[in-house]
Amino acid sequence: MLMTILQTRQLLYYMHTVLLFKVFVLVAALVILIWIYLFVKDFLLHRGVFYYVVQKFWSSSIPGPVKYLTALVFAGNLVVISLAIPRYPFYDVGMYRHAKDFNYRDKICSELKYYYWQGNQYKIINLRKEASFFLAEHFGLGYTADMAYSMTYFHKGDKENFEFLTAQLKEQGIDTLWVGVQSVNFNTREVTFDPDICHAIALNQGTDLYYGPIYIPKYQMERCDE
Amino acid sequence: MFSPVIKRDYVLLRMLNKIKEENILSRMEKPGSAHQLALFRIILGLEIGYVTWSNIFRFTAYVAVPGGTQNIFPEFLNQWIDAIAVPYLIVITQVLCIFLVLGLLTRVILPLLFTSFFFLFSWYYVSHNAPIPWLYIWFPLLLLNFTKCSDVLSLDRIIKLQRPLPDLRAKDYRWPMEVVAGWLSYIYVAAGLSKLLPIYKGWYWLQGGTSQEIMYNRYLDSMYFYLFEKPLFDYTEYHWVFAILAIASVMVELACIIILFTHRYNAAIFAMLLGMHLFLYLAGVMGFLQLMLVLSVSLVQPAFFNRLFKEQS
Repeated sequence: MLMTILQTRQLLYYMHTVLLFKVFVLVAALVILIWIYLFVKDFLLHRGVFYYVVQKFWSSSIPGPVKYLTALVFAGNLVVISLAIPRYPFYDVGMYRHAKDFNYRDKICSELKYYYWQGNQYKIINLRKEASFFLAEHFGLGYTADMAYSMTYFHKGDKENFEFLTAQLKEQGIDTLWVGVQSVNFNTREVTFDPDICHAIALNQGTDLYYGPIYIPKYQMERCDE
Repeated sequence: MFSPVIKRDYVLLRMLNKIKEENILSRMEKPGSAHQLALFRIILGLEIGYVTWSNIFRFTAYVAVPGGTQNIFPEFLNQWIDAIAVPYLIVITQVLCIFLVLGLLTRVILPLLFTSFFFLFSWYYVSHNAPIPWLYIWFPLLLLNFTKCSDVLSLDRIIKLQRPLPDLRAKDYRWPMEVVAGWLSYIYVAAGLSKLLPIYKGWYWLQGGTSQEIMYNRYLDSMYFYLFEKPLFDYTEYHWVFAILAIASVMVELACIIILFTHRYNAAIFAMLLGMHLFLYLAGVMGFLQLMLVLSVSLVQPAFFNRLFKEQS
């Protein structure tokens, strides 16, 4: 209850506009106050779970500094969990906390990916696959999961991301990357890849792209305009 | 014959007594295993090496987009780390984690390694909003500073810099592992709570939209696709499957609180966490499986290592 109140960013606004929420906050405040009273009373009378935990912890054989550090870290994490506002090194482990609605979606989900030509064959760069030691085709150790994640999603729209990738691939003799469209049809369970550079440019201007548009090199734009 | 009320009270009392004997604070006073702690040191060192040898620092410096995340350090310290310290911190962390794995000069290098690791990843955290695995290992690393983690399986032992306790099952080897188990419990319980709080959002989360969104959007970047090339089913339908997955994940995460009360279900908790992470790995949420495995060393009973390494009192 306390965490719900603490994590509601516009508490006063919701209290004024949603009657049910107002009732919840008032009831919660009452329950929290009663709980605090019982909690403190039990502690002062040397009984209850909290008293047991505190005295057991301080009388344990853990070295003194560790006790203080553990208590500090526990308190720090409790604060960030309660407020849902992480501050390194304290963390609320809330990376998937945002609730999303999955309404009707297109049966075909498309994603823009870099690829290159090897003879007459196109080769797709699956950036996240590269983070797997066993499946990687271009990068080895040093290309970790967080790196794959950043390059695939967070920085996909940055020119620097593209430059970093091409610099790495140049060392392997791959000098020109293009952007193509990979699609999965969830109805037929088929996956296809379209190397048409103009289709990729058109799709990249859409608004419904996961983590936004990808960076498309200038030469691809110019080639398409020709 | 006992009445149902007496029987219920008896069962409750027995349960409370068991919790009193088996809770994490009581377990800290029980025999441990020098090899378990040393093994944890080695595995943690390898994990630190793995994340520190990543090209991510070079990449982060190159793209240089602030992640919108913050740390507790004053601004001047952040600026100093950003402008001057990062290249040195990378090298220092890389070198010192080798020392940690080998167990060489452990007592000397641990405070230095912790400091360099702590600052290096602070820089990465504030400059880069991405899954942040090292948030889960900084405290175990700090903890090792106060332990006898290089008493065995270390060069310190071989060159006689470190002498183990006469009893390799002493409780000095136990409490660090229990604190790490508590840390593991915090991570998962906090993850579960963050999905359910605030309460009015929790219900919405449990309907599975978030899971469905992730699986739908990340399918073409998932290990499942790389391995099997076809989706398992139509991810735009069967919302109830995703609701079940969402509820199951929260239940598994919240179940980790049991670790604080008893160690009896550690194997079951480990199996559930492993199953969850393997599924997530296939679904496109990678990077956390190995962390779970590192921290799970603390879930193994010391008696197992006592037998394995023939540790005697």
